[in-house]
Amino acid sequence: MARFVAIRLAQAIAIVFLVASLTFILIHIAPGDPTRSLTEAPSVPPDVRAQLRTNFGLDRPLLEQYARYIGNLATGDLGYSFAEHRGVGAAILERVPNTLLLTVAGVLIAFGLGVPIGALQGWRAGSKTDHTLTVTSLFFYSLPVFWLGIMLQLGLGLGIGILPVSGAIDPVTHDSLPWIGRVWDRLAHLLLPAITLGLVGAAAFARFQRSATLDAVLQDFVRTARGKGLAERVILFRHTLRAALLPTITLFGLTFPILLSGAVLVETVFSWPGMGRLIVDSIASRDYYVVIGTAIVSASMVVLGNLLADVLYWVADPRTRPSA
Amino acid sequence: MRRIGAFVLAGVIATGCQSEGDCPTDWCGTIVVTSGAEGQTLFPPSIDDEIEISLNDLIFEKLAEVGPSMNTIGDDRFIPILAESWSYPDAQTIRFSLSDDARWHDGTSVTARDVAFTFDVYRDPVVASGAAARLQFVESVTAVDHRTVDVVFERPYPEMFFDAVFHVRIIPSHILGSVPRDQLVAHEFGRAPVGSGPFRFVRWNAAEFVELAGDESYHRGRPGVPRIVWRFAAGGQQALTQLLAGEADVLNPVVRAEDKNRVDDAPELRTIPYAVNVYAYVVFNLRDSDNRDAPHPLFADPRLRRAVAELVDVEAVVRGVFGEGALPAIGPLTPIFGELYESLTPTPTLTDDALRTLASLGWTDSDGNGVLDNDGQEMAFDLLVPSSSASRVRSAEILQEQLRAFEIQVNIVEMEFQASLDQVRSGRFDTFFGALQHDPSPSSVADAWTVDAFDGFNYGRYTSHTFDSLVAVGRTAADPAQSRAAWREALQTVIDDAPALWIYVPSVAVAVHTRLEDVTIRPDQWSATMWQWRVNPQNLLARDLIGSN
Repeated sequence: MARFVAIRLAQAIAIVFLVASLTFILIHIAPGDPTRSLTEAPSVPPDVRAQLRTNFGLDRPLLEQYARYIGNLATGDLGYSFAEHRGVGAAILERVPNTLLLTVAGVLIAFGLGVPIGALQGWRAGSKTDHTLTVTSLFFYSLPVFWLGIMLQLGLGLGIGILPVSGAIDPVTHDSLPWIGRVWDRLAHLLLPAITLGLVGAAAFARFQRSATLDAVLQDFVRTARGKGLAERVILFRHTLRAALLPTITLFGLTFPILLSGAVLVETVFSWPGMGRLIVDSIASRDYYVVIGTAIVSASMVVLGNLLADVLYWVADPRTRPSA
Repeated sequence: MRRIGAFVLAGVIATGCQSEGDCPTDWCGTIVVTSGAEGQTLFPPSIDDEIEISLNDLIFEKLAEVGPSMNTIGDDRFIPILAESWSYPDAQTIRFSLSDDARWHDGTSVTARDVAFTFDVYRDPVVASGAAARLQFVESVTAVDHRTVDVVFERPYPEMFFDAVFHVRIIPSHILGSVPRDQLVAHEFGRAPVGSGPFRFVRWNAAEFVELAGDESYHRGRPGVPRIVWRFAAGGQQALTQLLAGEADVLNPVVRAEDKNRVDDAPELRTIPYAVNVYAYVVFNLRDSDNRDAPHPLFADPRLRRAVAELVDVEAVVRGVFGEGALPAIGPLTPIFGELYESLTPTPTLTDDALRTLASLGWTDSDGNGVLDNDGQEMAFDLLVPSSSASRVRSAEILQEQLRAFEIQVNIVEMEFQASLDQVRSGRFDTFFGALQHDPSPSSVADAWTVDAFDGFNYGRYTSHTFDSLVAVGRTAADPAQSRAAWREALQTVIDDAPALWIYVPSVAVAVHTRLEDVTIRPDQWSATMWQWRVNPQNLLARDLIGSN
């Protein structure tokens, strides 16, 4: 198994390298460059722009820029942010924890809501509960994530006023709070964006889990369990659900990139200081190495998410382990 | 419902049962500003957007500042800041005497050496400061003694005082003097600066906020509040939501009429309208879009440009898009120029005259297809519009309709902002819907329309020797009255030549919490007086009682 994981990691590095190279090419052939002012103010004359291009090495041939970038990347140097005037690594590191927090919270909500709902639907297929939950989950599944975020923000934030509408903390009061207050402050700010992300993900999980549960309840071992006179609850939780979880675990890995891309929108709606906003801002300002750096981090997270899904799959079903 | 109640109660307990109350000292208040974007650096020579400038003005100091009159010629009505006085040892030298009490936030005195160092950094090509061009006539900057510094110009000119003070914020030589010049822009100082202004930098949480603490010992007097938190939302609407949710006290700009109404409907908020120093315009490309050496088949002719300008009902465009939320532009400048602006004559809407002019130039609909033509050339052109600007897109649509009525065909081409700028800078366009910002100096207006600006903001390659000569006189005339007259004539020339259709000047507003007092807005820099804003001690919120870090 260790050998298999090592092979997967090597593949992951190759994928990330390809993503970095492709992003490098795409962002460089896009119109504009990092020295272009977004404000249209005539405060940056052309000769200053030319000097900036020289300072940043943007006047060098593209191949030379690429070779230098890949060389630096091999040493762990993600390059320089033209917009933030600091290392890309520092800029990304500041944001990654917030994005991970949001995405993990979103996944937990999605998984925590979607799996039981889907299992219940599959278990009671054709019932009124199943129909109601199908309509509900389809409703959330069809909602654009940014729209749902805005609605929750307007309803629970601006309307009822019980939750903050933006940011990761209250910048004014946070540091003056006792530790429990700081935890609460973080939680309160996390709730709306995480629920937004989680609700849409939960709908997808529920649809998938329902179908997996439907397949599982028709299996021989379920009939056998019933024949043995086991309680319905035991049959569902101990036998059916465990078997039905396997495809959902695969989905777990595949959902990670979807939630990550959803996080870009949610971070924008809730002004969440994560990587999503960094991606959007860096593309708009043509901050080349930040765009590539965030692509590398996103690709790494996706690859690792898939690897994690495989490992979980092996844990849930030892027969699928590579050594077996 | 009971659960929600418990949830809220838990929050109140966790946050320390904060409530409104009285200020325990005579200096309380936190002003929370929100904006729909984030600054990138606070290193003064590198700043170029409005948020960076606002934060810089709170942390750093200029030698002097333009007054409310916005005069930039001579030194009349300038306000002393770091320099408590100035004199003229000769016609081309300004001698500044620095305030004895000025201190960097680390406690070190601000000296003449800092001023000389600052000018040297701004003018260093390696630093690539956007303000360097404004200092091109500075010959030398020399510390005469600890508190006195001479700024010597190559020759005297009307705006030399303005150039010496307006663009330059003094930076500390004892911190940055040893940093190699090619590393200054990337130095950590840009995200953790030490200034000498009314507010001390505390911290910058990326994509969240910058926190500033009032400097009680500031030499021009204690700031209005002990703390300012500047939040960075992910966009204008998100910033507005923060404001309406009570998470911020100040938002600039509020542009759309419906947003202004939402703010005005909130009892604890008010709006203060002001005209910004930005004008939107449709520039004609005077050169052929496929061959820049050849004249444009339509717009090289000033009579045709003028006729098209006279066909457009700018007032209708502006009202259709903004209602009362913008002014029709009269030329490449905004009302912050006061008397100069008032003295100019805009292009009138003269439909019959314009049609007669076009007919006299040979433009008729000879083939009956609904589009004017002349010798096989149709009066049809592309209008390139950045898709990110809804106001410009909407204005373009109205323009298109207006000109269609006169058998002129406008094809709107929406394009991503950066891509559209690339297209325009390479000359591959017929017309472009742009927007330009200027500072209080007429020179900054001229920068976009002279021949020297071909590689800059003179996208359409407007060429007028009359205009260029008048600009030269405006810049160099020793007599201020002669300078003002030359500027007026230059601007009227460019208006009459119609190298562009002047469309609108946005009238925006600052939204502020009603508990804030002494709020005044300077049109060229809305936050210029923010350091003096204060919180009404009778109307404090819980956050006003929390001290800074």
